[in-house]
Amino acid sequence: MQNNGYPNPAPNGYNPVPNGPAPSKGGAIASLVLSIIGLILFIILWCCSWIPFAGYFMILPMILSIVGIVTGISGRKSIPLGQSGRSMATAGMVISIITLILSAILLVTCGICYNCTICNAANSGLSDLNDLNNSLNDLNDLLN
Amino acid sequence: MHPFFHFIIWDIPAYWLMGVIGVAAASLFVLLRNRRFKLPGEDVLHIGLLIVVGAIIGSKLLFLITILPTLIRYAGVIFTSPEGWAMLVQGGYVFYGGLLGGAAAAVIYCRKYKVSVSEAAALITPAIPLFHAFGRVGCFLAGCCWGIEVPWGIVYTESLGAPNGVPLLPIQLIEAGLNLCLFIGLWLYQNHRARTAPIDAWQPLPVYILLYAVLRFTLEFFRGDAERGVALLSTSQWVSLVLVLAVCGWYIFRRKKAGRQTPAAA
Repeated sequence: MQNNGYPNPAPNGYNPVPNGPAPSKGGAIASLVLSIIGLILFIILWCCSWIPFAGYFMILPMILSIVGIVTGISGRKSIPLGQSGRSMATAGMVISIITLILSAILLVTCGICYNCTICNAANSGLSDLNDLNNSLNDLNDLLN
Repeated sequence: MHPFFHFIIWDIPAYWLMGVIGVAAASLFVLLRNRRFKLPGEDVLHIGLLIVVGAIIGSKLLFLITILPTLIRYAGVIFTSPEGWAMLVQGGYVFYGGLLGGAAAAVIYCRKYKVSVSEAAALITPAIPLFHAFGRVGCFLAGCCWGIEVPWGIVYTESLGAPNGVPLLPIQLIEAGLNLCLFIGLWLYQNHRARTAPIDAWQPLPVYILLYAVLRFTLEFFRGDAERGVALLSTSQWVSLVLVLAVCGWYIFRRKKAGRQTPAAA
């Protein structure tokens, strides 16, 4: 049989294809790192929830978990099953999902709660202006 | 009603809990249904996750667009007060923004990884009103998206948004019930069509969008929460109108395309 410069075929006749370039693990690593940072941040904020307005920072672990999910999916799709790095992407994705669910507890209290908060915020500003106006009027009366 | 459920030492927001139950129910439905569609399980999982991510981002963005005039008018107060930041960060999610954001995320994934968009849409569409039904129950429990004042209505005592002590139309429950009917109708009709054709031959997405847009446009007249739109119509009503026109345009385009192809085949 002519060889043509290629290695001899294996005894069962199967010629393994030469390995292509290794799949990029960047997405997998990013997913795992972001998910862990997000989870740690969530735990810190949860423990410090007694501090006023600390809960509002829960948006940060939520954002990190969203990015972790997206990079985890990208990592899982770019790394074939069984190759190293895929389990890292899966772990990053799973941790991000858990962090997202937990961080949403403190953030998603209702669908459209802006009415009460904006009215309170606006009224507090307007009441400050009214107080200032009244003080100016009193001062004006006093001077006159 | 019950904006929070007390569990051991925690107060769990009802809206969050119903949202999680809704996502779980919709996910279970899609995973079981995929036995008939035969899409790769991994892709179904990824699409589901991206829909959730897209929905969160889209619903928040549309909420911010909805309150843009208020944001501009009270910018000085909002961005300098904790209550203002709480408003931006915490509550405020619009369903249509979630629908569009979730759909965009799913389409991007399908295009990038060569998954059939129409097959994924046929699989996932019936699950959308199922999730939405749970979400609306969450709205009812939290006291947001409330209805107009009616003498025979539900009276809130500790709502997060609706006025307390005022009898209100339970529009959230009405919409939840209608969404449930939409889910059952789409599911049963899809099964009926699957008796004589492949299960992904009939595309439920335009039908769902059309029916929900009409439903939402009508129900918006019975919403009692504050001004949420432009020129007599709310933002959701404007979006509904655009979606109805888009779906009708799509059907007309398809019929013309089918008409052009038939003479060519002959």
